[in-house]
Amino acid sequence: MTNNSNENVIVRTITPLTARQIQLSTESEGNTFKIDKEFVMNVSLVGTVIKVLDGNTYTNYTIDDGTGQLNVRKFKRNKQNNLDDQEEQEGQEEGEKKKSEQIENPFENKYVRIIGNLKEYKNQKSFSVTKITEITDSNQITTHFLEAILVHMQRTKGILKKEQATSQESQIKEEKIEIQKETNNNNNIISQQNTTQILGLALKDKALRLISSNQTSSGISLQELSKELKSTEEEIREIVDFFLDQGQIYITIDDEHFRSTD
Amino acid sequence: MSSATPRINFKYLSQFEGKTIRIIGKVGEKQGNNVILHTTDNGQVIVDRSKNLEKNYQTNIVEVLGIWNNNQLRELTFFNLSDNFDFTTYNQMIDLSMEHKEIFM
Repeated sequence: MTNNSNENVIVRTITPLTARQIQLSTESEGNTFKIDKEFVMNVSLVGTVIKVLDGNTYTNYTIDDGTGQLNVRKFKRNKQNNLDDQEEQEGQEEGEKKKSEQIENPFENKYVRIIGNLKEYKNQKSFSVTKITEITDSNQITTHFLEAILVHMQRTKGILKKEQATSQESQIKEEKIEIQKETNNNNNIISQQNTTQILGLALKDKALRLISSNQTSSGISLQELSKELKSTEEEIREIVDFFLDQGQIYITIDDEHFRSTD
Repeated sequence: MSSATPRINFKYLSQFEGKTIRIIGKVGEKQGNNVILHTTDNGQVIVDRSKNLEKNYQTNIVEVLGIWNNNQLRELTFFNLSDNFDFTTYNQMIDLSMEHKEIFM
């Protein structure tokens, strides 16, 4: 692989993809596409054929794999291909298209596997089909998408470390993870309790300050305290009971109004 | 950009109200224009076949592509699948595809 954009990159692997990945791919170097940051040339798709247009030089299939739709072309090996008569051919194509739309292509409305070449041509993506076969074992639909997910994950997140470790190593790792989880849980519980205590203290302080700052003869009410401190009346009740016991506040007109003894 | 027709199973149906989706299942009882589809994750879906009556399901397991609305799947088209289709693995694939929506929808 070189960085010279005029040279073609050669990639020998077949990448299982979804139509959506192809639609979303924008990166390319030269005329080779990159998906998930890796060069792709030969790709495989699994989907249903929803439309077939039979032309003179190629057959155009519209594939829907549930993630999106894609037009792919299978070029015909036609000895009579003569590019000088292109206009005539195009005229003929129109006519032939109309005819062949009525003829049923064996792949129409069936699940197929397509292996082909993804290329960029004049800023447009083109997919040229090397092989199209009907899927007879429907489990291949499931496995294709599983493979696409796997390759996508490997290329975006790296190969799973577990795959590299021996089974013994991975067992030890799993045990460590379990112990870590337990410690984390315990730490969480302790820190939660600490937090509640600290918040509780802060609330009491605020409550006392509010009560002290109230200079009216009837004092501040439970409801007002609850509103100001944004706490429930039960919580406020607990707090005022504490201060009442301590002698720091006293009740005034009824047991829901308080004044500070200071 | 073409739109996706996501593959889902019974448990995800509620997230796709009004959408065009694909669901796979075993063909069940016929009730007039409707057919019951027993989905891969043991759910039951009523498929309204009125727009596609002239084509019959040719296998026991099919994938129905349709619009999910008001507890009914209005069929647009379907695909015949092979009898050895594994439901468990398929359900797992669907769950994984939901975790990787970026390549599916």
